[in-house]
Amino acid sequence: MLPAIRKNAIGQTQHLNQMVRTITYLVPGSRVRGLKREPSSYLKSPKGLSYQEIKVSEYHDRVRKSLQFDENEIDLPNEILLQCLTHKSFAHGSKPYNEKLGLLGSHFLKYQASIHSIKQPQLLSLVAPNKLQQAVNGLNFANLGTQVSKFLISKPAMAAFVKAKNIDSLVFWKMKDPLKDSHHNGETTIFSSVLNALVGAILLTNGPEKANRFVSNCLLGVDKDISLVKIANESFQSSNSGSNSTFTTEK
Amino acid sequence: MVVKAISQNSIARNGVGAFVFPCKKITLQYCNWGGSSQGMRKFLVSKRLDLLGQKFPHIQFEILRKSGHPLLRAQYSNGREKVICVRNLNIDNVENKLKLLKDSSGDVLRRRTKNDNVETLNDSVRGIWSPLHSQMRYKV
Amino acid sequence: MSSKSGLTKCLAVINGLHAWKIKSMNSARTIQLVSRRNTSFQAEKKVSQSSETIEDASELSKYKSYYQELKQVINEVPEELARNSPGLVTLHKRLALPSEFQLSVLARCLTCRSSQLPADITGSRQNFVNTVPTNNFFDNHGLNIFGKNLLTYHVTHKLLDKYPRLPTVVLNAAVDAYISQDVLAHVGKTWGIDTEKTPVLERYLKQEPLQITLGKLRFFNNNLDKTDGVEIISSKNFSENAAYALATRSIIGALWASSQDTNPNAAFQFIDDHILSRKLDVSKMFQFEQPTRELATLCRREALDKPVSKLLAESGRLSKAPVFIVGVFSGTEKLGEGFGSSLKEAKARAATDALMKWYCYEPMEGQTPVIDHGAVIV
Repeated sequence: MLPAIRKNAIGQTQHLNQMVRTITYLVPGSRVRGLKREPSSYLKSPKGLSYQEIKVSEYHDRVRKSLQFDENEIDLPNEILLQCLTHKSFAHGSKPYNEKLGLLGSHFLKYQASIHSIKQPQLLSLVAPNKLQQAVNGLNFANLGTQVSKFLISKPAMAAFVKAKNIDSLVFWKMKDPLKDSHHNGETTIFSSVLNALVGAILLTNGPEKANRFVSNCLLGVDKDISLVKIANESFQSSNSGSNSTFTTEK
Repeated sequence: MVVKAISQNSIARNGVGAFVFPCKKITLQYCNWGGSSQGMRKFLVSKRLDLLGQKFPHIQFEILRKSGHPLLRAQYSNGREKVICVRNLNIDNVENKLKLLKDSSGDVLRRRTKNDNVETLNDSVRGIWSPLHSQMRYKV
Repeated sequence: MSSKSGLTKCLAVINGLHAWKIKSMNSARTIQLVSRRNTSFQAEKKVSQSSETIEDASELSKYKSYYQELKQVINEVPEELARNSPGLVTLHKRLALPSEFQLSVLARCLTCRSSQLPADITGSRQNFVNTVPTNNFFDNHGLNIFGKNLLTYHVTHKLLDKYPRLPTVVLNAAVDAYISQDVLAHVGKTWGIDTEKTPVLERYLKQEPLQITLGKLRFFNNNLDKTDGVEIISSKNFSENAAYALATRSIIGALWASSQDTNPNAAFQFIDDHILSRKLDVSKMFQFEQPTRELATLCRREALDKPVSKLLAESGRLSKAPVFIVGVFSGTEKLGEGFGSSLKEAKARAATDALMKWYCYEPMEGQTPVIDHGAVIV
């Protein structure tokens, strides 16, 4: 009699009615064409962090602390936090990744940022010299579509935020070409998607009120050391230095 | 090689969620001189139109003086227009015709045949009968 | 009768002047367009001789003041005037908007920035007859952007709540199915918004009150004069559908702006009622290339047993119309079932069915939020 269930090399169970014994050879180290790699050799972030050996105290708590989750009363489970920091490119999408959370987060962030912009008392844009567009219910809709409001949630600004918060070393992704620079590998896109995904995950698990508070406190807070508003203002001023900017609205 | 999407448009269902009244404008055309407009003129000077206007603030009423027979012209949100000639009708009949136009959805009137009474966007709740899934197997 | 003929004469004169002004600018297309109109009035123009020029001039200045007044009103809609506009009042009532939503704001939602013409198309603002060129002091540009952000966020959130496992491409297509330009334009049309089609001159000749035009959608109308049979085809931004979509988005944005102090959820409720109540079958939006392979990858990722296809029923294997029913199983659990006239076809259908059941999964009401791991990459 054969045993009812056999285990194969990668630990998958096989049923009685399929009496096939499979043995898989896993290659450690670099990729060999036609052979399966050992998971531990590819489950590594560009900074050398291993996906399989993540310690909660070093990884999750670090993210929670730098993004002030406790102060904003945000409770995000460990596995979802890890999913937010995993890009689709990592391990060919075999691990939970952040694409859809990022999509939802980016829409939420765009919505929150536009609220932030229209509540600005000083007009970012004049529609004509010496003439302001009339506000609706005290909200300046002419502020939308201006350079500053667009830059607030642009990829470079968000990537700069992630870097300033020191989360960038914790992101799991795969470089297009490890020999080339970060621009070629699309680092800003990856990091901005991480921030978007965090916002999206907070929105789904903690509800819109807490997500709203998190965004307005942590991301769009003017008085914080690191915030998107500050990053946007600084980089915008440096790029537009000299010209007394009256930003024109664009179609 | 992941799943691909086929783009589609959602289909409007007026009344599921919000209901937008289909009749948006009614023009009442009358002639100051012609005898066929007698009922229409009476209707216009009576209080009935005021009451209708208060009851249905979402309909725009327009009064137009133009020679010829009196007309009721209604415009609907589906872009169509319905016109009824109310010549020689008395005041009550004019009002009834007006209400007829107001209650219409603007669609073309069609006669439903016997087995064409239900039109739906949804799938059948009962599903489709399949001989291969029924209790009694039919052998062919 | 006499007054009418006087008016037509005036029309001829004004049109003549009009054409002359346009000719002075050097835009080939507009010259063609107007010169045709010009000739039709030439005969009448000769009739109106110098004896009547003084009267005509006064008529002209009246027209000019009408035009200026119209422009001023559109650039800054007074609430009292808006309250008298039948189009605005009925639209407000039809959509059951709250009373905080001012009618002048509604009029602003209907003024598109395209009605303010860029300089290179016109050169001068005088030759544009259908809508009055406006400034951007009071247009829906910002409201539109805000409405768009609001719509995308809310529709994405709701869809993701309902179908947490939709793949990103399908999710995007589904969001598009609700709020693409054409769909929003259709929504705007069913709300009963009219476009302004009457030229200003005609409006003046009819002595149309200024508030009438406030209830209509103002945008750059391509068909300058439909009766001429001449149409300028320009970029998409100026199309009627684009203008309707702008107005729809702006109304939603303005609803948020005017109700956020009293009822912050009013705009979201409005989107639920008007946009998300539309019918969409997400299961019709999938296109699989290799369903069996994708299912196998999915099972491996979710640590399920390997999917195995089994024949459940068949009929007429040797006939010209065989039917096979195949089920796909993972361990003892049945994942999906498919039919087909060959075993291969039935197997592919079964795998597709299983994948659809995974991707189109709808959680129960009140369940803890499901966070999907992402679509399967084969």
